[in-house]
Amino acid sequence: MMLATTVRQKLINSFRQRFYRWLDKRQPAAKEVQLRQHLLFVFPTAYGGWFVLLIALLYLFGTNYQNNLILLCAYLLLSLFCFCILAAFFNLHQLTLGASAEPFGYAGSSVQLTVQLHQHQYKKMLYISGEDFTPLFFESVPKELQLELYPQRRGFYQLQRFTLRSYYPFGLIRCWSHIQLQQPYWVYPEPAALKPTVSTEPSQHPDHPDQLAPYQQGSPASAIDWKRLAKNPWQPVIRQYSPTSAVHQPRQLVVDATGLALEQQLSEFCALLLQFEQQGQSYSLSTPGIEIAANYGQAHLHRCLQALALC
Amino acid sequence: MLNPLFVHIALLLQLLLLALLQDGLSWWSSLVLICILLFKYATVRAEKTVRMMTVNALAVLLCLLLLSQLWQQDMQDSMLQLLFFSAALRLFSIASDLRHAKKLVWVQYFLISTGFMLNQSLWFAGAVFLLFFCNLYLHYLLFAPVQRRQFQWSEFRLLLWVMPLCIALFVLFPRLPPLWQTDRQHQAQTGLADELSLGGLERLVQNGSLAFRVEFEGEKPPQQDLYWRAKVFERFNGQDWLPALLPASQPLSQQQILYHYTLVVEPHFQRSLFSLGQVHQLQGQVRPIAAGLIESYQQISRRFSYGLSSDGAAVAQQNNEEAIRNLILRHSNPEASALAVQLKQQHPTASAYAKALYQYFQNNQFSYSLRPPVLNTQAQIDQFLFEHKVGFCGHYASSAAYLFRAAGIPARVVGGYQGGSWQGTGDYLQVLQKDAHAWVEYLDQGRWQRFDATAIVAPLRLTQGLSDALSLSERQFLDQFFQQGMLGDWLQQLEWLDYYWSVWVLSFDQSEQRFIWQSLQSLPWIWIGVALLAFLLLALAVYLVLQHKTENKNQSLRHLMLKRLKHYGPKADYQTMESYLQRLILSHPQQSEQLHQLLLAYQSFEFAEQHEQLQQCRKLLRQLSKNKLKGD
Repeated sequence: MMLATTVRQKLINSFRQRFYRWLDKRQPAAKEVQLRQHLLFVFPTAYGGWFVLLIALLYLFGTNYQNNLILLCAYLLLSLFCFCILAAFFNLHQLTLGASAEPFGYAGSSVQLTVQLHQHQYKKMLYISGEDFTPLFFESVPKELQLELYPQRRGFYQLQRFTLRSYYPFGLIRCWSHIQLQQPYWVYPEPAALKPTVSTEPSQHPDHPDQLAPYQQGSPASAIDWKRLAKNPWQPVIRQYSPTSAVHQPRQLVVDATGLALEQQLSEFCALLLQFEQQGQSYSLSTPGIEIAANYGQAHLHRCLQALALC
Repeated sequence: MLNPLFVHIALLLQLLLLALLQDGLSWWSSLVLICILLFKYATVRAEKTVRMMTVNALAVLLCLLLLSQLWQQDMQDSMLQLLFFSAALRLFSIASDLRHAKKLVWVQYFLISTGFMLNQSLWFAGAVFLLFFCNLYLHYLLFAPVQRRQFQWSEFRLLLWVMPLCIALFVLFPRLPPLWQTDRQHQAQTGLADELSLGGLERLVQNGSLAFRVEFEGEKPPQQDLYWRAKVFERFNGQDWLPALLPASQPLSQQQILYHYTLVVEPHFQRSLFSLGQVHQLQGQVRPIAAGLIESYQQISRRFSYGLSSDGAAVAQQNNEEAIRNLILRHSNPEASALAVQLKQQHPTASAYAKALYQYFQNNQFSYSLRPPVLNTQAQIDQFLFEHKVGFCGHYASSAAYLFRAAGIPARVVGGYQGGSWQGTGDYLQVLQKDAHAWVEYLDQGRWQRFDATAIVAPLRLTQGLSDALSLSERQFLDQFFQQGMLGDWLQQLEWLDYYWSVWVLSFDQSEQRFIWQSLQSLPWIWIGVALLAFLLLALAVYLVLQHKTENKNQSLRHLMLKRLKHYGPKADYQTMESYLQRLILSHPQQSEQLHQLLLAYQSFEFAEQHEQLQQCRKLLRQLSKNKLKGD
């Protein structure tokens, strides 16, 4: 008994693998996928099967009693069935799915992923399901799909092949497609709650700047001396602090833990990086694989977080 | 999530269906169904749910009730009732689960279609198809967005494609003969009795339903010759005339043909068919049998159509046995026999004897009535001829045939219909059940001549139909429903429609299908194919040319400008057309006016899409290039 089930399981698995390999060849991952003839599958549902049985029964009845009107009913249902094949196909045909920029999230919480849809007008009753997000159902298809990905461990992921399907209009025919979008996403380590000792007070600039300089385009707005600006609005000046100031020493984070401690450290670092960025401090990161020089800004932050995610 | 509209529409549909399927349901099941539907309506109104236990208990109860009635009822009707009960009870569970609603829609499709087992007339078919589409809408609601209630036009348009496909399937899809014999011997009301007793047609005369319809091609016979033969009764047992066990028929002979006609017969669950005099040609699933009659290969259980060609002449004698068979007279009506012998002595030939009989019926105060006095079981013909002298066609035919046989002239009773009324503008003849008639054929010089004593007694019966031949009180008895005025006209139009409905839809069968295929095959397909191909190529060419034109107008203008303005100086790659023109204006002050105009025209053509500016551009360009050449 056990043997039989394992053999069956194996068979199913191998079949599924082969099927996915075939699908990968047929529709390699792409940034944008348009549902065309070669991607859409169309097949009757169970109810469609019952419907065909109904048609057969009516045909039998009509033939046996030589009743043309019952035959006419059978033909009407048959042509409706044929119409449904087309209607179900055209309901998904030419729908275009586009990947968005790499979204990110933190381990332990779900990642929000947006899929852009084009040519979505007149498409109805769409079910979307996949291995890594909660299934969704839309009565009329929106411009954007918000997929809520299941929580994962930190790392760099690729959106799994997911299924779009629709039974519209009469539930007799199921039209579906397995789509592989080239849609990577990041799961950063979960930010730890920082102990107050670790957290640094928001640095207070001393009111006596080292130097004043005329404002030039591109200077940070936070550096403008607002008091002076109020006195003389035509000549804005900015404060310049000497780089030797202790507060503005770039923060250095070094990943050196291993094992369980590593995860803990990564979580703390994640929280720290977010805090530094918020405070406008510059920071550098070194991990066993990668060295990132001190800098600040969103791009830098994400580079650092990505480095953490890949540790 | 079920559309809230679903339950209401389903309720309405079942109520209408109940009204339509009345004929197939027994009174108690109709009552039960109405109660169930009303109960459901009440619960929907009160927004309550019924426990499934209650519904299941009710279902079991109804099944038991059906089982107990099973031996009394037709199997088919029982099935219909069972289906209907299941559909009605299913209404209670649809709100809880979509699967139940799906099953309900399925069962309703089936129920609605089986309505055609009961009736196939035009109005009924219209009502059934209305319900059918209503059910289709229910089906749509199951899988459509819950918020929306209407079909969108795009869907509706797609649905329109279903219709031609359906009609094509109906016309071209292969039809099979019945797979097994179904026995549905309903008490069809027909004027064709299996035997003819003296009072046999009495009840039928009141029946105004349709028997058959005839369309003549070309010449139409006069009203008094419209004797539709269907059955021949050759054995007389004292009370009833019975059909003889007829031997095989003889082949039809080719003779001069007078009438070509097509008949559409309502189901009467017999095989006998109607013909006019001697038949020479047949069309359809029919064959000739003895005594010049026609029958179908199968029982007529649906509307059935066939074509015949006849001459107006009497039916020919087929063999000698026929004459001998029709002389047998075992039962005595002494007075009638004496009368026959007496008349025969005075009129030795058969035709003279027939004339004398007509005379006899005319001169002896015979009268026509649908309510003749009841006859004893003994010597009925004597009783009728010499005592009551009141009766209808059965009486007259029966006694006349007896008088012929008693005089040694072979004679038999023929059953069928007589007359009919012309419908539309004389397009077709409509024969009703009340036109059922019986008359006599006697053998004279190798032909079976017609003898109809009723024609003497009630001559109006022949020329104007039965109702005129009867007295006023009898007409009231007949309970006629001849409508007058507008309504009557309307009804006639509808009947006319119904006729073509039955000709084109109901009696469409294999032979007509084969005919369509043959005519399709005989079309010049090669030429049609070539023409189609040529048309497609032409359309493609025109399309491409048009496409090319619209796409490249701007392109070609730019090309033209570059070519014509070449002499003024080449355009650099980084320049737009406008900046190029502006530079030319500066560098060629003597042409600046025209160049400026060109710039304006170009701008309004390219960006404001003023297509009339294209001509202006071309004109200016021509002038500019001319001026430059002159200038050089």
